[in-house]
Amino acid sequence: MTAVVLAALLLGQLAFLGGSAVVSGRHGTAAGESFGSAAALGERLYQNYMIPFQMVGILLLVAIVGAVAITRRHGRGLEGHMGGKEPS
Amino acid sequence: MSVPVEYYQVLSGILFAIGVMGVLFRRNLLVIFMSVELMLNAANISLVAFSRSLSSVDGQVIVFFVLAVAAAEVAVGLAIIIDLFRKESTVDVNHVSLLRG
Repeated sequence: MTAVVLAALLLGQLAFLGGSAVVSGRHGTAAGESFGSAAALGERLYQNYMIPFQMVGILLLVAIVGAVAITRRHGRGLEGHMGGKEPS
Repeated sequence: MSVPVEYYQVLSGILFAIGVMGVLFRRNLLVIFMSVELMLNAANISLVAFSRSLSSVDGQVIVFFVLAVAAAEVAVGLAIIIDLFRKESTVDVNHVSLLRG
């Protein structure tokens, strides 16, 4: 029941915000020809967001290592959950 | 041709609300996980819509980071679910109330 109330609150807020935005006449502008292209995106990504980009790389590496560390059986490799039999 | 940004916000809000309800109501851990992803991608829709509306590429760059964080979260979360299923033989959150390993 809490979820329904929360969802209704959220949607009500959104409707209110959308309504006020419509009143103020703010609409999406027509996108330019090259706006959002892969070239523009890559340039922005590599020039303005270089440090976060590399940090995301480290984060993905840590996440993958963590996932493998959690998933594999401790000290036993694959035989742990395969019942000693290799998958054919 | 040009869809006003409010429509995207409403769509994003609806998707986010669906995700919230999925997390709060569903008992299956995998479905809860998918609901979390739904909420993340609702935020992505909002970011892209504002990015196009303001003619700034920054929003789309942030979407990249959100996607990367979501991928990392899925990797760790699915590993935890696999470990949980090996221990408990269920992914129902009603049967998983212990923090003891």
